[in-house]
Amino acid sequence: MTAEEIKKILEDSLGSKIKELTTPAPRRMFIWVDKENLVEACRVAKEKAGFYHISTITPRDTGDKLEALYHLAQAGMVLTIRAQTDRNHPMLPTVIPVYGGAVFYEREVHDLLGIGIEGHPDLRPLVLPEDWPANVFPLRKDWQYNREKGVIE
Amino acid sequence: MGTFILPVGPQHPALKEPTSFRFLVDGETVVDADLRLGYNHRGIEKGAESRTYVQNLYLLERVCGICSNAHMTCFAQGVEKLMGLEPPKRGLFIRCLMGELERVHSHLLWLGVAGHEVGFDTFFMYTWRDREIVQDMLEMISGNRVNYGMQTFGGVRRDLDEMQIKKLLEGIAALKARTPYYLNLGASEPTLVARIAGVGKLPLEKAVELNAVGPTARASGWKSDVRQDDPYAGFGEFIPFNIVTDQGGDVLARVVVRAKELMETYNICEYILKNLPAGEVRVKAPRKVPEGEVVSRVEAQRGEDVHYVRSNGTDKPDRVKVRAPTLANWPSTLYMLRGGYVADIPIVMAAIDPCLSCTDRMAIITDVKRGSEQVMDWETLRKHGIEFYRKRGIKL
Repeated sequence: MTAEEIKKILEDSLGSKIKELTTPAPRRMFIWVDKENLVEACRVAKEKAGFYHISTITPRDTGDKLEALYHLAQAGMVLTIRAQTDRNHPMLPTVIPVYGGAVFYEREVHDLLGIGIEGHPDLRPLVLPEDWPANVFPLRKDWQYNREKGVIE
Repeated sequence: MGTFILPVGPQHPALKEPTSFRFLVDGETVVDADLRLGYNHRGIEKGAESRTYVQNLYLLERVCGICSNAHMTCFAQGVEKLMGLEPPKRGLFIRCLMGELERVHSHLLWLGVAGHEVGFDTFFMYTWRDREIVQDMLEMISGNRVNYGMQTFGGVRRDLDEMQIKKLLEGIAALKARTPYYLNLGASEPTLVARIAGVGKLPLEKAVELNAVGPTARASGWKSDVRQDDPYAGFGEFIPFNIVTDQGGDVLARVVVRAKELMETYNICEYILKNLPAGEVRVKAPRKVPEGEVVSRVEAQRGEDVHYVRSNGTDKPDRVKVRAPTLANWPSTLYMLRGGYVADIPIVMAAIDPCLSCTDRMAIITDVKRGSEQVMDWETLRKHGIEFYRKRGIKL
């Protein structure tokens, strides 16, 4: 499928739900949707536009918001769906019903940036230890690691 | 009979790296499997935000010992896109060559591990003996057996000379002569086939649904390969290659796919070495990177490796995300383990080729005049080196 065809399918199916669509490089496309439309956008991407594969989810701290980028792939194109959520009550819907392989990626998002995943069956910590303090999220920009002083200077 | 929870790991659950499993077993059958990761989490993504791009190149190389070049390539080519750099053709060819040689050493390592996990240690000894050939080739090019440090922004850091090309071709020819034996052994040796055929089944539709990558997906008949789907560093355009798939979907198919991929990789290496274009190997890269974001993908030996880099106009990235292929294959692995036998757990886990490390080594010093051999450990080698230079009047 060419970039033009994919763009047309996405625009026809999602219409004004796409807040921004860019193609910064060959074989790369970025779209920005509200988090309420995220699952629908993923469904359209998979069922109509042929993005069978989820590569990963990149969570990111933009400063005033938290954002997640869903990298979807098919032969010849990588589509990145961007969705943002509020910093105070960060919450995103799960995409597992569409992409079964997202289960660990969503747990990682929850671990490292503290974005709640609505509808995720199992949100135990994946990479952080069990004794990690609550409400401390290492990938947020306001978290800094202060190395403990060694015994020997 | 009731069910039991069988904890495996985090130390040595068949592998040399920590992962913790909880298996719900009913007699000898695995009913359910659960996974706990993070024992090796080093906070590299956070660390990358406070380092410069050049420092990050070497930090990200150390994500994994075996896929080091894949991670380095992935980060380097992503940042190149942000910088707007076009590496010269010779640089791209050498970049591909490093990736393919790394694939050779990784697949040979994996074949050995697979043999070891099913109790066929002769196979392990054979493939690891041959792996030394490619390790020596990598050492000749880069000076290192792991973490080659070859990629940089704008190309590669070392060039190849005529002598090296000749030696590399000899090495490839030696491997090419030996590998068909392993393919034959893996696919038709009756005891081995009986042990691995039908074990760890992953049907095609499940492989696609659970987003499996690399040889695991290809062994279920799914023809996906980043080198074809999202060509980089000259693949597809300058360097021809074929994708190997198998319809089996079991451990046997994964052995066959990797063994056939080895043959394909030798052909790619030969093509690169025989058609190496003349010219520079790199272009100069700026220190600061303009604002932007990029998704970079590489076909590592275990599957698709993805990096996301966001720059903010300074010499340090705003966000670096790394997704190594093993994480993408865990959902499929848990699926494969369910319904299997406890005794099959090691080989099914090993079949996706989770990361292992190989940094320990020693040097054997042969005295040419006397013909005696002496094994030196690291400490003795270090003392020997200091003494060697001191004798020649170099102050250390």
